[in-house]
Amino acid sequence: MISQASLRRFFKTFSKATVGLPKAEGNLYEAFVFLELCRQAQVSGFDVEMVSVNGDYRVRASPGYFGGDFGYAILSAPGRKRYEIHNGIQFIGNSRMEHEADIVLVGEKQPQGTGQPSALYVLIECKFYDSASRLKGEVRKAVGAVLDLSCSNHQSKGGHVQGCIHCGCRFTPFFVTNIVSGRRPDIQTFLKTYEVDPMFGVFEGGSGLPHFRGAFRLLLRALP
Amino acid sequence: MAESAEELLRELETAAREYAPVEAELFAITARDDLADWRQTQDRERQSELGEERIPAQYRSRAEEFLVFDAFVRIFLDPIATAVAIGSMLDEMSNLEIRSLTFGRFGDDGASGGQISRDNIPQLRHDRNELQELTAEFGRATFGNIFRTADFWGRRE
Repeated sequence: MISQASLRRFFKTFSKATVGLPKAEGNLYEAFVFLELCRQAQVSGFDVEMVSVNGDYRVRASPGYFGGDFGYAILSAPGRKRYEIHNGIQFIGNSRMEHEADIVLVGEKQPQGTGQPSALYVLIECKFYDSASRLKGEVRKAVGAVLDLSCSNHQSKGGHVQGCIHCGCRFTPFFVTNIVSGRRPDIQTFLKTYEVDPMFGVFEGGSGLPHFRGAFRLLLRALP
Repeated sequence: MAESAEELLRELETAAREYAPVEAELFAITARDDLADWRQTQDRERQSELGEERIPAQYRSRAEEFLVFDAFVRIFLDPIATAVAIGSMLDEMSNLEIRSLTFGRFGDDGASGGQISRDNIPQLRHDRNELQELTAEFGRATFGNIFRTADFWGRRE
């Protein structure tokens, strides 16, 4: 039997600790994954500069185009191209529908105020814990967005431009979540089937964090 | 020990309502969805394919309580642990000289989405440790000797 006194103490502390923190756990999780990616870039030999105002880094808590007064990270290394990492970017897909990309690794100097990136390398969909049924909706949404944002496209029967993942989308898509690996094997397999790399158990101390770090170090080191 | 997953869920939800009503609601909905998904999976031929992998071996006889407890950890512990991890990363990458993260929406100048300041991290770390200790106490009360913290939130920082 759980002690009622301990339960009260738990929720009192929880309530106090969360004052001022982002109410949307998804925003908090996105910031965590963003910083992990920045850290892996540092470990992989990049200098990382986070664009901030007087030490305050402004995180997008709602999607928008490149630009505005939101922060982003600049990656640079001698003899290599420069890159940027942004969060909460809205992109226009092949169908002309807009999709939010939680985190993107792109080439430097993106066109401001538009949803059409030049040189997209990595797209990460972040998902803080959710129930199995809602998670299925999220992964279908993620696969749909990757398909529509794919740089390979064809003409549909109705004459529309449709994205194609079979010809290669030309960026690397990931689905990153704090849900422990193995809890939802069917969902992980669904993502793999459609070329989206599932990264489960990505949280502080989580079993998926070493895999996340290793995969991104390899990817970052392979960038030109 | 709680006698059923429903009882455990009600016990945690009721206690949460007083201090964290929004999260209590989220927890109850999520855990009930997960229980329903698990129960309907049990009726299908895919039980062995899916079920065996989803629940760690030592919890299989208490699979429903495991799902409820996992939802509790993800909803009530992970946000605090994530905020602490963000602070630790900012400390590690000290050359970035970032003192705070302010979460703002498009067209909104303030910190409407919340803020994490490096100055608040020591207190948050203390709170996280206390929450983890209490959750471990709840885990032992629910599962007895089979409970291990590593099955839910891994190593401590």
